[in-house]
Amino acid sequence: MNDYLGIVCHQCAAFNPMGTTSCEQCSSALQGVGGEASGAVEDSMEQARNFICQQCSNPVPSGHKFCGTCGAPVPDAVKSAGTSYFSPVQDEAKARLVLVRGEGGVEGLTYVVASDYIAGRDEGEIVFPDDRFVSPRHASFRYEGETLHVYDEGSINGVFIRLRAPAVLRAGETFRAGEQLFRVEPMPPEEEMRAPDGTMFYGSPARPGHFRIVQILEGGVDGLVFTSREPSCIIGREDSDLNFAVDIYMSRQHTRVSIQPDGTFLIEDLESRNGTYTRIASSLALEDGDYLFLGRELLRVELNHA
Amino acid sequence: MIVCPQCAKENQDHYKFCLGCGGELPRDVARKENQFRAPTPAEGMEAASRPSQCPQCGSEVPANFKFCGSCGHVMKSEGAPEPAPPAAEAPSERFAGGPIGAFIHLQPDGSPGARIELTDGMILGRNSGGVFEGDLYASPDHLRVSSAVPGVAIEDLGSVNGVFLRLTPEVPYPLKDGSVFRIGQEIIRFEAIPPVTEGETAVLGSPNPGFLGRLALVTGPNRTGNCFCIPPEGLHLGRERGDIIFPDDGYVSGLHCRVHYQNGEVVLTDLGSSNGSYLCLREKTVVQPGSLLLVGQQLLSVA
Repeated sequence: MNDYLGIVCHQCAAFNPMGTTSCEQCSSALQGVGGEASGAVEDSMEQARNFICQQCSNPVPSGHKFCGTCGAPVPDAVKSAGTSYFSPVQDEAKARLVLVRGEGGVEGLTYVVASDYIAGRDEGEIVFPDDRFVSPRHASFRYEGETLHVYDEGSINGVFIRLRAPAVLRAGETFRAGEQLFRVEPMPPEEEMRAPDGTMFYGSPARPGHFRIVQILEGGVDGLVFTSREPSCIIGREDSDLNFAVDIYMSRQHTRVSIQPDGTFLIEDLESRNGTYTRIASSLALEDGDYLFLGRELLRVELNHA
Repeated sequence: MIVCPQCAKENQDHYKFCLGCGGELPRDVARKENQFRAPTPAEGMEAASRPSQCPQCGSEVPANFKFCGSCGHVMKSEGAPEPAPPAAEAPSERFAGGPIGAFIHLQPDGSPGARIELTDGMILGRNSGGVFEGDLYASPDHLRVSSAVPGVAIEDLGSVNGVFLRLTPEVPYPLKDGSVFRIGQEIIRFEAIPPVTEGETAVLGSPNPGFLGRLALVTGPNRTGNCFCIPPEGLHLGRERGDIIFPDDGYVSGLHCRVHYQNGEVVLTDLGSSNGSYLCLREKTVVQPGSLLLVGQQLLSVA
């Protein structure tokens, strides 16, 4: 038997070898030896089950704000007994944004959106560092009740939403189709063709038109200008009134633009593959399946209906 | 359009056989029909008297013409049967410089008309009368001519419509930002696309694959109509063929001219059009004998 391993008697402190059940010196029962001993004796070293007061080391029952023994206050961190998520996005009811296309090349990346999340090139939880068309602080997302809203945080290029239904634009407002950005304009006013010295200006015959569509090039300069000869025209890849044969993201008949009697414009998507997009005002309530453009980042909104 | 001499049906210029009766269409009829007639606008020129119809080819012939402009048939008129170029008054000489050459005024049917003797420093325009009398598209003091050997130096005096030079076919002429040219009835301005200065965030828009510039249709002193961007490979203009078409302008040829990039600059080339392509000269330019100039509504040949 091992001389070094034994049990100390709690009455007389005599050292008893392992396996003895009563002290050899005073015959008291030795503590810690169970009736059905497994052979190995375990010291019980247990953790206190409740919070221990820092001041007097006494246990404080749950829910108490002060130690019952010495009156010391329980720290705040212990008082708030609620359990936190690792991250706000752990909540199954939150919305997701799926990156359909972007500059960083990680299509398919999914962002779970919690309230007050910011999207931008430099700032925020949803960051697009490779897209120079995304403003440093571009947009934010907020829950109002159960509805997710997107807010334009004063971005240069705006937040564009895919049309779910025909939309009304005022003169000077923009829309996107395929890779193109367009602005709608009324016809320019008539001009005086006679110079002060009586000479007549010779210009191209003025053909009648109802409104104009201006293509805005990267950098913000005007490109193509198209005059619609009818109150309504169709923009598409080919065989439309205004054609962009080289734009592979445009459908054959993509968008219809019509001028209305009050001078506003009706924009209708013609069931194109990639949709027609208009710029949101300052904020917009989002629906499941919405597509958003932030700069050149295309995101799909997925809302779980918990 | 060619009018078939057998059945009088109108056929497009490039047709060799009549669509109506199958008869062979005369080729020289088409050429003469397309000769430049400075289009008469609603205002400006005095109203012409009632035109008549040529008995040979059926084309419309203005009242005071002795020959049909399309087929050359001698028209019966109350005047002498043999035509003579109308004697025009010499424009009043504003400067007493030495003789430097002459312009020959071309009549609407293309035949030579009055001869205008030029002196060094002479100013021509509506004020100088002669062929410019009543032409409201010519400014009062439109251009100044001066000596250049060989040829004549032309200087536009800030006229409203400018002085246009007819381009030699198949020869490229450089275009600068603001250059204006004319084909048929169309006035077109070439505009450079300004370079983009990028701020912190780039401005989104349609992709620019390297456009050479824009072509804007000039419809008024400060107004343009449609605009087209010129792709890197250039583009063609015409009435029926080309990237930019003017289907309702009969003075534009089927395929009229081309704008493209060559030797470091954007150039305009006439492709042998019937009525020609004209480039507006805004700077002092020397023109050679044989050149054609358009001033207001008047065509002048440099003698």
